[in-house]
Amino acid sequence: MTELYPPGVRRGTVTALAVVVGVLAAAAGLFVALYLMERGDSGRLSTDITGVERELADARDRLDSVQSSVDDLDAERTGLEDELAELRECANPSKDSVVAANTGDDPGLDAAIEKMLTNCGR
Amino acid sequence: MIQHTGYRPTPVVLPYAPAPPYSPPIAPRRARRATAIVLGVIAAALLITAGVFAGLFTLASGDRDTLAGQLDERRTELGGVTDQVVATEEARDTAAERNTGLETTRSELSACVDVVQRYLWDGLVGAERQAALDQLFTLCQ
Repeated sequence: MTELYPPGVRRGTVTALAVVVGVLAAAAGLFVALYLMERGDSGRLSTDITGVERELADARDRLDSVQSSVDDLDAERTGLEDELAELRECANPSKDSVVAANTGDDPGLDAAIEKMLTNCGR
Repeated sequence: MIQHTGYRPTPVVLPYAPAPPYSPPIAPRRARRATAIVLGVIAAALLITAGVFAGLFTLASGDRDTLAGQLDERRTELGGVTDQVVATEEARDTAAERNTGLETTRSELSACVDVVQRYLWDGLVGAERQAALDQLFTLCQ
């Protein structure tokens, strides 16, 4: 029988178009959902990066502070060592004199006292 | 000129009349056409929407990967700085302990030196001199 429908309006065409619309709607929905998920992930990652950068800044500040303390302690140690070297100039012969006196080492005692007189001045 | 001879052809009577060609009603045809057009427009719109969001998804996915890389980088950096902080804190504690030891030694030596200087240079006599000497023997061991 001769089909007299106008072109493009067959029942099958309409059905096929409906199927295509369904598939495209599903595809569009899928891509919208995927896009929104990616956006959500990106937002969370940005928040995480901000948090880690804040922690990093805090850690760097702490590192600077602790390093400064170490530098101060090193400078203090240098001062203490200089001071100790000076004190030992007098303290060592004094200790030697005590040992010499305790052991009856008269020459040792004389030598130690000689050094004490030289090194223990004010 | 044709002259009338009196002959008249007998009309042929067909046994049946040809059926008129089938034609669906006009209203449903128009409705299908309209439906097809609407579906076509919706399909086109959905195709564009799907294409746009596929592109946006691709871009967002790239951004997400970049951000994930940056986060890993920052975390690695933070781990390194944290390790440095721990190591520096240990160095600080060690230095503080060492200085404490040096300060203790300085106190001991200072006490010894003070009493020696007092014994030698303060012109002590008698009991004071003996007391200073006893202190010297105690503090300068």
